[in-house]
Amino acid sequence: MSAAKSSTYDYLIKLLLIGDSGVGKSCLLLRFCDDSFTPSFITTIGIDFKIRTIELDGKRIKLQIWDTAGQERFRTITTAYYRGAMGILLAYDVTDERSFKNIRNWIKNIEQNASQGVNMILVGNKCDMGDKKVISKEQGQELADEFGIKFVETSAKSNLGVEDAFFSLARDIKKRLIDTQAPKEEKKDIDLTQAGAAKAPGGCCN
Amino acid sequence: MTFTTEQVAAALAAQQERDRAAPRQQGLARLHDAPANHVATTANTNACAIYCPSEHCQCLILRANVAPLETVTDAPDLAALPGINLGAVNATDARYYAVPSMMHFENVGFSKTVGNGVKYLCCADCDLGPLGFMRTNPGRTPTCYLKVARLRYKVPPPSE
Repeated sequence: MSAAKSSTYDYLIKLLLIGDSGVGKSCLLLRFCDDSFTPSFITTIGIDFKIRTIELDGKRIKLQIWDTAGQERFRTITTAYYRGAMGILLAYDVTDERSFKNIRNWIKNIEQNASQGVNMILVGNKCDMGDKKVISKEQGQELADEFGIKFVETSAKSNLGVEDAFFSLARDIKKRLIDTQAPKEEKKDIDLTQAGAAKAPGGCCN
Repeated sequence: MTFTTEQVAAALAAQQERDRAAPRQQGLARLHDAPANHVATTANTNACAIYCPSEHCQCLILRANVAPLETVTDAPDLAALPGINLGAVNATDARYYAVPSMMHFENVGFSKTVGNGVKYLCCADCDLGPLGFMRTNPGRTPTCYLKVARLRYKVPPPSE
């Protein structure tokens, strides 16, 4: 096996997690495909993104999953961050009404900055088991219907629905892009000096 | 070659199920005291597939034959790994696998950038880390460094 062959891939899908601070986007990111929950040095700093490789009928698909890395505190998620994004998970906290109301603002921001036709999914997240739910599942579904996007409720700490959220989004992106595009069309280098730099750890998992 | 949406969804779900149901990997061993031919091939790349160091995790981080072995003398300090006793090797073993770019990993996490442009690497499943680092300063190569003393590998190595 050669070095080149062993690490090649056929498709790259870039996903973003977007929403207010503290809605548990970090939990979503860290809980993807994971059954354990161990705070560590890394979770204290915060995770910027993860690389995941999935195999499908001999095709290798790399998922690159980004957190907004605290930029959302300033409502200044820039075009650079959205660049190349094929799917967006829009997250709110079911115990925080403000985060739910702000979803509309986030959608505006996305429409202004992301590429047209980017796939979105609305995620109602509950990161802290002790808090009270104030946004019902029906409210979440209504909002999603209004914008014509999918909806899922998750609990990142118990892993409920997290996979559904990612799979649903990956499925839609695959349908929109990959089934029609030539392999490796989206393969690009990532500029970490612009999109990845962040100052403060955010989210509820710190 | 195209896939239908249903095929993609089914394959993703099936792979997830397999990963969850899979028995613990047999023959995963700490890498730092492994025989030299397990650490690197004659071409000086990682001889074996690399896994998360936690015994409670079996996340595949890097396939075999992807990254050259290098000695790195100016690496940033790496904090202790919770629950794992690295002993003295953490300080004395300066061997790293130099992964050419982030896309060469199977599964890995990158921390936010801290201090002087360092991103730390962690397990994509359990977030255990730091397992290594990369530097994001302008002019730096996209190489990511995985510390040999902090990894497990699957034995025996593939025949060359």
